[in-house]
Amino acid sequence: MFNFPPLEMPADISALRTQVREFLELELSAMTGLERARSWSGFDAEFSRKLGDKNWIGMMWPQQYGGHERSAIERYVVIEELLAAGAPVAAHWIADRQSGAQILRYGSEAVIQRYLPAIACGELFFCIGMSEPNAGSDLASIKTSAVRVDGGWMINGAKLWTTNVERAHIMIALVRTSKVEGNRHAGLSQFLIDLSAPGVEVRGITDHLGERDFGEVFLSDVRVDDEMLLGTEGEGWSQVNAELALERSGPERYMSSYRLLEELLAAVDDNPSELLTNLIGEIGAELWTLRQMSMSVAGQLSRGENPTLEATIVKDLGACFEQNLPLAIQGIVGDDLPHERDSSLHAVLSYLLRASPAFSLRGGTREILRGIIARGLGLR
Amino acid sequence: MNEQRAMLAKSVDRLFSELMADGMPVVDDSSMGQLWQSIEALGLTDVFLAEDAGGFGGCWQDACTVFHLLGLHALPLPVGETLIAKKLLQQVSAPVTTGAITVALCPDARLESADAGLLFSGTLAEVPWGLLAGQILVACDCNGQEQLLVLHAASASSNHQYRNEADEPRDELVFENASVQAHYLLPGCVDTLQLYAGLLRSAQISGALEAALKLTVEYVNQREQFGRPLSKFQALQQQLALLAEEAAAVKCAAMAASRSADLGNAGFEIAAAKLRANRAVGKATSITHQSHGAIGFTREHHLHYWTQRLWSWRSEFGNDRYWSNRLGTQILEEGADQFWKNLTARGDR
Repeated sequence: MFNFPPLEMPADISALRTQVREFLELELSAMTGLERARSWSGFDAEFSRKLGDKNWIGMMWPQQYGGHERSAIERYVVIEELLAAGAPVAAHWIADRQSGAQILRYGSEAVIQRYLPAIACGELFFCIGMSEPNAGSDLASIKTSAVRVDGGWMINGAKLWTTNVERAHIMIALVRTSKVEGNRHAGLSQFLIDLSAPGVEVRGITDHLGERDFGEVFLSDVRVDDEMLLGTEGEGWSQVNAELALERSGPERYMSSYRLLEELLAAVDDNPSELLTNLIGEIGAELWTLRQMSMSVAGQLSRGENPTLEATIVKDLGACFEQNLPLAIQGIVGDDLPHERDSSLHAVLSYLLRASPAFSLRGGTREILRGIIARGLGLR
Repeated sequence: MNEQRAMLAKSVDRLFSELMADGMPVVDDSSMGQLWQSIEALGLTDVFLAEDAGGFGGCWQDACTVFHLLGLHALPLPVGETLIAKKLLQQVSAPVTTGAITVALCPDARLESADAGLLFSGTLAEVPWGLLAGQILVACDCNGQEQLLVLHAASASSNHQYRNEADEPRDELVFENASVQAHYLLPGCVDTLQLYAGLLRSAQISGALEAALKLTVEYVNQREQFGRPLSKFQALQQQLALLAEEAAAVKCAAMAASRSADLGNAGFEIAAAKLRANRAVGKATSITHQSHGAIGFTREHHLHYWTQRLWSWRSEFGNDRYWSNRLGTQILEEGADQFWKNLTARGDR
């Protein structure tokens, strides 16, 4: 039904881990707990460039395209170390995780050469154009369309809830290129859209924490060349699903609240209550289990297997963990734990309580994920 | 899964299917001998025994594959307990024995030397199939030394034949100056047995969750209400997804912990796996019973084979409070700045 074989780590992996740790200790020494708590939402273009210099972006891509031909496991170790340290990785995260892989798989040689080396340097940032004002979970109902014009395509429509839209350079957008009666998944295609092109208007949206991490894009007669069609016309649906598999299985799907655990551990005094000790035990067990699951999926992906069901399970369980963590800790801080208003623990807790609702929305809502799992069980 | 382990799983799965073919077998003094013979005929109690000694030459991941199948089939025999006992006896180079041998801890153990040899006094609580297995391996701390003792259940001076929620024997045996069949000094063996048994129950819970999930999927696909199968209702689909998530998490945790056991010190991982397994039990039993409706509440339907075992196994060899406190204490003792380092170092082995 599902399979989670333990991941066998390569024997020399701890050397790479140590390198990453030493680099981060130096680079991030001035970061506060609250800044680290932003996890993979923290945006710092300069930091991304430094990671590129270290060869830690595009790690698995061919060297001829600026990649470093490292294994999936090596990449996993680097990104989980970045997350554990709360490094500001948002600028390059999407390009490294999925856009680069999509381009490598579906792009023309010229397009690959144009974009991949710049991504691997940590200089070119991407965003994902999937949701629209009237198409969220029901992604196949998107209205943004591309029509053929001489030597290219004309795109019209709007994308919404696009992370980093104000700071990204390129969007990979899912748009409708034709209508096929009775098959809403047909006739969709993926395009690369340069956000500095004429006809593109970007507007940030302020979230309820006051941050402007996402936004909307209006596309009015945006002309793109033929080569900006990514993959095959009409095959967008299966391409997007391949992309979503990359998006759903990584360690960021259970580590978004990790900073809070570190803050909690640092705040505990020498005489913790049994309640607090047991809560830490519970958190430790869940975190350990999720890490085993996430690593098992990484191993399966690296062997070319297709663990869609397993990845979906990890994301849903991971999001539940990330959301429960702040609530569980809120329920116990106070009497037996120092919790001053100006403490790092308080700041991180307060931030994550408010940030965590997004964890089960982004990358596929909880309900959509559970529907995918139900399909995997043969119920639909 | 490697080829050898896959073959082990296949033959064990076939045997357990045969043993359970007519429903839950009655295990008593008259049937135990024959049932156990079919277990030993397959070499199932020698998973850990070296190949050149006639065993399977297996590791914890092999053993956990068997433990998982014990849970998947709800087999009411002390196969896992015997494997653990034999593993411990192998660690002290004890002679290889046959027959079922169960395991027990004994906090109030007392040993005295007499002319006839060592005499044991103490109470063994909740011994799985204690009287039916006949032999018991006890791990205890006596006179400042941790040791393994082999006892005969028949030498107990009194007993209470308790049963767990699944009607499996969990005997209380009181010994007063009973003769000890064999004893071996093994530092740390009390905790080692606690961990091995915790790993056993984790993997059994994993198997039982998988069985409950399969039964539930079958049932909601076949049962119709409002003119369509229950499986077509989103409310049920979402609940079954949660059940699958619990089964998946526990399966992954138990197998990962067994890999760690193969690498050596696995106290953290087994504690985490057993706690995760325990915490899955409430959610999973609730969903599977709710999805089955009234039929799943009957004696006739077999769902209770698994749900009753899940409730029992959650308490056995460490409940939630025991393992969460143990894990939390370990994390706090190691210190805040060591948490991530230790977590990753354990996996990088």
